[in-house]
Amino acid sequence: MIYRTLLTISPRRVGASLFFFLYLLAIPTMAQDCQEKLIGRLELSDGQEPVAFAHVLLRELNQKVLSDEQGTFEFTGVCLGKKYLLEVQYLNDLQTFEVRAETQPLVLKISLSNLLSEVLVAGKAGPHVHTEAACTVDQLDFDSRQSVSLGEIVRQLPGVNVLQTGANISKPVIQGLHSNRIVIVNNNLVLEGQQWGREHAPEIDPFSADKVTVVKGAMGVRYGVGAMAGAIVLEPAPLRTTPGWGGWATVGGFSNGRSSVGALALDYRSANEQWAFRIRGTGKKGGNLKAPDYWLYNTGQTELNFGLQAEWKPSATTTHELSLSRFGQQLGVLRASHLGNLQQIELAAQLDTPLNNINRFSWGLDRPYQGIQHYTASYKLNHRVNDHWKLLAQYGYQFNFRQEYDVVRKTGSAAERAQVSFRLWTNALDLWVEHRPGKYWQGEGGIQVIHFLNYVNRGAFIPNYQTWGASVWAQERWRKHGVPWEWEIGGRYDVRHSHVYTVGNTTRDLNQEVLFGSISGIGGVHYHINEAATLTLHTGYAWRPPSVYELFARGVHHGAGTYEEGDSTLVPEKAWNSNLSFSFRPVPESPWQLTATLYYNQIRDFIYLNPALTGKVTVRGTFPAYYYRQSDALLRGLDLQLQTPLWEGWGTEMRISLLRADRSTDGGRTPLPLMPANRFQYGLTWQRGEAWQVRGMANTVLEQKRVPIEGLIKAAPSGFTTFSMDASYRFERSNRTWELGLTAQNLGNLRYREYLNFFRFYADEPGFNLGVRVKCIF
Amino acid sequence: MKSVQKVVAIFFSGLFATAFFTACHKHDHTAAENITAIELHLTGNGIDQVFTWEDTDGDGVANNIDTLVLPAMTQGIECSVLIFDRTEIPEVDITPEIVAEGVDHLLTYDVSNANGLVVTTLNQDANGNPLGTTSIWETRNAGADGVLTLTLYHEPTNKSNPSNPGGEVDFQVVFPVKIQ
Repeated sequence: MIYRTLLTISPRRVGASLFFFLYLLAIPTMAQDCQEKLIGRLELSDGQEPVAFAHVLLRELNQKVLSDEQGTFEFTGVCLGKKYLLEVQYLNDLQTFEVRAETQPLVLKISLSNLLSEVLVAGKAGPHVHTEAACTVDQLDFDSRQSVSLGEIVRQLPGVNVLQTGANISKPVIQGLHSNRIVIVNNNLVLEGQQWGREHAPEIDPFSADKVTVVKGAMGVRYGVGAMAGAIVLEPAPLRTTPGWGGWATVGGFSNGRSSVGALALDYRSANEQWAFRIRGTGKKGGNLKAPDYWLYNTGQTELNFGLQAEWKPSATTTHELSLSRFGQQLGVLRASHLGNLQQIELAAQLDTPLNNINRFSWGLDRPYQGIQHYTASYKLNHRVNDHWKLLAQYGYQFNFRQEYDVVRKTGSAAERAQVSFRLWTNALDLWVEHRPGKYWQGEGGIQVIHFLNYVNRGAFIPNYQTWGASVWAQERWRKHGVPWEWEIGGRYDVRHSHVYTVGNTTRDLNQEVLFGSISGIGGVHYHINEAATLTLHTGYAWRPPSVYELFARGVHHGAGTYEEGDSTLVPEKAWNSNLSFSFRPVPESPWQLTATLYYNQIRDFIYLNPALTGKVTVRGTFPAYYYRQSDALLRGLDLQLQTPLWEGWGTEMRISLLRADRSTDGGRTPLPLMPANRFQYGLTWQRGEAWQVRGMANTVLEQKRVPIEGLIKAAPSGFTTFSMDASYRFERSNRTWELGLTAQNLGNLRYREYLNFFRFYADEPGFNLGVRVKCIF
Repeated sequence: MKSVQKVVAIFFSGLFATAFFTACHKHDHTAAENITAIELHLTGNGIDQVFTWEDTDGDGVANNIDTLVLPAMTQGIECSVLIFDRTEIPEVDITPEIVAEGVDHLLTYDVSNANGLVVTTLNQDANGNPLGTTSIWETRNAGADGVLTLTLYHEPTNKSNPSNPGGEVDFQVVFPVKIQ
């Protein structure tokens, strides 16, 4: 006789849903006997593929086991007729089930969301084995900063910083490297824009994602030439699985800047369950930010973004996915930062308050400001051929349109237009396979063809170009149940061809072709010391061709206040990036957790801007002159995250980021400029069940003493400690989930400056900021 | 079902229309602020000359700077500054715009050797503050050579302080000066 129970689930992630049909298997004995075995099997509901390598925890007996390649698991010392709590951890989901031990076979059937099914090949389902160091931004940090920017979200992780041009423009920095050395991947599409620019923030709406993971190390095999130092991977929430409508709405605001944000998403799945879509939109408006002593005039912003995601699954083996998005943003830039020549910059750097600042609040965006639009359209096809093979294809289109509006005379042709504009069209076609060649191997491989077309207007200091690229890559993993070792190996070959030309920009007659190609590779090993601890070693060889601006830039970069000149003889950078990670967590969801990563990144022919001894005299006066050079660089450091419990509900949290970065010069080793200083975050956390969560953190950043002397207009700012607090409260009301959040930044209203913020020459960081948010999931 | 399809269709077309519309704008709708020639027209007291600072290829770096060769011990020389954008064809004379927005501009003259040359700004803006596109020059001792730095400030915050009036520098050019 079969006893069937439909269990109530409390999913950790919104949008995922699991259906369980329960059958119990127990050796028949007397009712009070507690010597039975509880044997079970995890299976996919749309097939009968076993779910291997999932953790199953039996709470009452505190036993944790791993399901094998057949999905089987076993517990001993079980009583017939007794209720037990089983927790299944699979990939990053944790599901709890109340189970009554009966005399029937126990089979847990799992129906996975679309997101998870990407990693599975029917037949021998198993989780992705990764040997690179990956950290996922925790839910509270993510929710508190989702309405600010991607940079603000990821900088909470150890080893991740931001390069800023004011508080509104933040570019992520992974272990000291940024711009063209990391990639940002949103819903499996690599973001392509003018990421070479220091004041060009990523064109991403954090509301398009549900989860952000930072992967550190050479990611070139999976993501190509731009991923030398790592990748920031954003994944949207899985589409709705039950027929009908659903979605969420968020409203929030921040006191500093008087900004408000609204975001809405509508999810729908058809009655026949074959297709589903999501429409989402985000709107944001803010005015001037305020430092403790003065307003930062013209630092407001507006943002309007839309997105559509659709999925059609006509059969069990084929899935079609379509994704469209529009990102539109206008960012005000502090007037003082667009000054001009060296004399003015030095003058401004000596003042305590920003030059040319108007000390009041305003909404309007005056010049100088940036206008950015980014459109993406992608289509993905996923076809399961048989138990061992899966074919995938993706076509991605992106259009990036970036304009800079400078301070100009009110009359004349310049007043109504942008002074600098960049347009970049990117088309990428990926074809790849996922396969399970044997019982213990799992891998993928494919090819990519990519095309870039870049137009800049007259007056911009980089030329037009058209680039074609092609790549071939493959990656394999080995894992066997019972063996504590796992292995991973991968390789890739990329080629990039660019045609660079100027179109009547100046009399500079540039018409040149450049071709670069190289292999890259990764290798990794994962060792399970025991159920709680693992040790991972990941090493990779990655390369990056010099970008068009590093080769051919020439002129004043007004946004940076420097004259920059490229070098057309530059050769590609080559990096050997290794990291060793240790992670410890006694059981899933344990309050004890330690993750530590030691990294060592050697880069040959590292390209950087070298300041010249004499400035460049242009019509606007003398500008500090920088010339692109290359030499060898070495970056090494430690990222550490530790959580410990204190007493009921309370715990501590600590994050450490240490980095030491040098380059080789004629005289030996000198520090690399613009490297993040050592940083310590530490604080207290409190939580009550699933509902309440509060975290108060102190953030101590040391003074960056390792700075090259030449070209230094102002010494790096001194060290500081700021305090922040994030809180969230979740409850259910009339079948909807509500979330209230409160965030406070710079609790002490401290006057401080950050070395990696270009505004440090002119102004303090923003002062106290209180944010509130309300989210309704329906 | 139908209304949902309608919503989706409208959204699709709206999104594509915006992308299409913006993407197809092939013509240049930007205007860079180019100052490529500054001419000093000196007249009066036997002098009638034009000295030019010029950036002929438009990259911002000077290609030709005339040396100001002036007769010693001469007063009352009137100087009129004309500013051009010669990357446009025909050339654009920016001076009338600057004078029209005089309140937002200040042209300063910094002489390195006061024994050779003294410059006093002449014209004023609508508020009675100095503008400086015209000036009166007085030369002194022969041989007291030096340099003359002309700086055009845009939206200065303090016009009574010629060494630091605030605002942005639109141009800053240096002419060598020879008094004979």
